[in-house]
Amino acid sequence: MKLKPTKEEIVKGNIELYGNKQIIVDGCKGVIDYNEDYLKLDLGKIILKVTGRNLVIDSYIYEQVDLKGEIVSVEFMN
Amino acid sequence: MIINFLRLILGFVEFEAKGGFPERFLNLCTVNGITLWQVQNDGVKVKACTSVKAYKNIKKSARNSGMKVKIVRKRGLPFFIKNNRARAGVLVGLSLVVFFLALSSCMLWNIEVIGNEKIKSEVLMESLSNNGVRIGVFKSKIDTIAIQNELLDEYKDLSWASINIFGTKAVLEVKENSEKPKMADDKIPMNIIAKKDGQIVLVEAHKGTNVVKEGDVVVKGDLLISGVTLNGDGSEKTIHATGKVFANTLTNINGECGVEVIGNVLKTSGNKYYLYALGGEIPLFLKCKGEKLYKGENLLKSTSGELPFGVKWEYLGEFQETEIELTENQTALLALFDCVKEKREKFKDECEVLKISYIKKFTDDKTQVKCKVSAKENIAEEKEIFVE
Repeated sequence: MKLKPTKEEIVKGNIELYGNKQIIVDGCKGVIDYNEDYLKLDLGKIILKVTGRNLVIDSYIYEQVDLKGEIVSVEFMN
Repeated sequence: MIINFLRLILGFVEFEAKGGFPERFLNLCTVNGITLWQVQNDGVKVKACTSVKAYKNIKKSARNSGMKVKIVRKRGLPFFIKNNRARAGVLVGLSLVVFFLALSSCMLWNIEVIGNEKIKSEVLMESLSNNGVRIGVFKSKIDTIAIQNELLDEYKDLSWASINIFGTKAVLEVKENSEKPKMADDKIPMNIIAKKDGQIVLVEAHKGTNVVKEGDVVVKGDLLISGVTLNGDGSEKTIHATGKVFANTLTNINGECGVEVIGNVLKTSGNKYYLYALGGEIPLFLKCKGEKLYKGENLLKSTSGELPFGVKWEYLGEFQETEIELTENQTALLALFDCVKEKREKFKDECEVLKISYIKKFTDDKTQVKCKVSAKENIAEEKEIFVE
């Protein structure tokens, strides 16, 4: 089993979480599903699902999504 | 914060998109290089913001995702200017304010001098002004290194000078030379004698032989500390005696004032006002007579000090020589002023005035005041010993 991620994987799939109010995701290939209560992002091999309330995409630029709102959970799906 | 400010300056549009596939719309926008922010999807429509230029290219992404876009609001400076084209005066005024702020921020507003003790701040300010550092000049025109060198050449008492410009404030920081101590010329043999009559209260002989002690009464010219000392073999040698001898003294000071004096009487007066801004003065008067007697200023103040904006004024007046007849009290007061002036000159250093008493004497044409000043002072005076 591969435990350590490669440098390339770290750079491409960087996620920053600021409390439960903001999440910044780098390496986003596209938005799969989005509304006020959840957001599904395509990160290449995995899908990131963020659920919460009053979710607003503060910016979406160059594969970087800045999501603000009241975040309840962050899930990874294959 | 800065990004939001720049967005307002450049202008942006708030729009909403309905129908179709919102996610595909977002993805296509990103692929086409259209920057979106404040994206909100309430399930029915997508609300977002984008730049004016990007909105012109957004239709292709909307068509490919089956969405219809509509502008909700236009925000920012370009739209503000466009909406207020009819109010040209407001825009010109706003532009002038911005221009003035930008221009004045390139100028000096304050000058401060620190670190000086012997040389007065006003003198250094005057030199700075002569070298082009004054309120209202452009900061870029100030050659700090050349001015620093100029100041060091001009004032030999300065050992170091530095001009620092912080924002719109110039600070001149200086360091002054410390004076060389005076070397006593102890080759000439000297005695210490009394320069005044008095009763000795303290003798501090640094070199020489004490001749008097506390409580002794001395008159002017009496020997206090002798410069003649004895060697171990009984022979004598002369030295330069030094020391301080404090005594209680009594000094008479006389002052007088005539009953009739010629004085300058203020005949006319007026004020001249100037509007002051960044070193420049705009006169607020047409014609004013008289010579300047004194001046003042009322400047705007901020938390960091005075601002170079406000009103300056000059008080003008004309004097006429007139013969004045004084009352007894007035002549007595003027005579007393004479005494006080003389007292200040006589009792400068190393003295403590203990008591002052005076008597007044009135005659037909003048008033005399006799003051008696009782003081504790250093009465030591050096006198050369002549050796044949």
